[in-house]
Amino acid sequence: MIHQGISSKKVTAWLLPITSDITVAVGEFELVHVLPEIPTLFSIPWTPSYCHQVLVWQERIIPLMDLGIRWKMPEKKVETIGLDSSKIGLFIYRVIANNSLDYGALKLSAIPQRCEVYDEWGCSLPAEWRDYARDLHSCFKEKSSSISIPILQLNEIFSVPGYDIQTEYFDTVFPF
Amino acid sequence: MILSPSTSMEVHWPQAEHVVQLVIGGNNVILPQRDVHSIETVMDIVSVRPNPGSVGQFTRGGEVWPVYVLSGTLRTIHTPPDDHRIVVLLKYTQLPFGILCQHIVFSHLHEMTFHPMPQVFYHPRSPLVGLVLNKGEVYCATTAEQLGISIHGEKL
Repeated sequence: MIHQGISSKKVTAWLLPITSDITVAVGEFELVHVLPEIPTLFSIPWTPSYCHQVLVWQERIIPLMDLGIRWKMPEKKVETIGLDSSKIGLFIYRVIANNSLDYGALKLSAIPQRCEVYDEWGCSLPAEWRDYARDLHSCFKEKSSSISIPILQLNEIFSVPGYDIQTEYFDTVFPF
Repeated sequence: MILSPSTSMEVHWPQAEHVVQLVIGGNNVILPQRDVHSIETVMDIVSVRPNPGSVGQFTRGGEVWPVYVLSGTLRTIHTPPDDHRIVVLLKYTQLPFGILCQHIVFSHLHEMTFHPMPQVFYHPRSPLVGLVLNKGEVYCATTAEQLGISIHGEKL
């Protein structure tokens, strides 16, 4: 991808393949590490189905999330990644409540790709992503591509699940 | 109304505590040792069910302790697995109760590292107050009070 503009600003990002159909992006410094192999995973009771396991990395306990399940993608896109073929990316984000740094892990279907994103690539969120807008910062579209790539809001994704106190209904999926 | 009840995450784990490690449904659960009233055997359970969800009761000195069986996901179940032969009676001020477990190990928290529960794991009726890292293994941390609230909350 060659960009012709001279004055436009650009930033470096990581493209994260969530499934074969879904790619999202994070900022350059939000991706900390990609685990070369699947570590031991520990299941934690009373947790959402999209995030019910943890892994240990450098003496930290890090929750592992499957965004395909969280977003309840349309059937053809819900191909939960088998652990045998998936990668795990470790991410750092700032917790809004106390401004501290914390870590989260995401299941990926392939190794992340580094790319440069130009300001003018910004685009509106496609209709298919509107239900997940809370999890996303914004969206961009590469100049020669028709595919919009949402940018993850990691601090929102790894925050407390929304809970409706009136109905005691979680806007998340629990495995029970 | 959608709330993010982050303050509810701030459950404190007793510091420098002797702990007990219960194996329940194959899962390791850590409790403060001071939350344990006594350890008994399954043979002493009477199959009277004083509370919904309990599998029987333990009686001593006029006190009645409903006994519950939990699955590995820390939900009450109605059929005790054959390998759950130990009854741990817990001090819960609202309603003392017992739970069945496979094994029990007495230990000290200084051999382990306590970690707060990740925010994304928040559930209003979860009995967990955090996670414990012990020699590369992750255990669930709870207290008698949180376990009691969770068990009795399920019946509401």
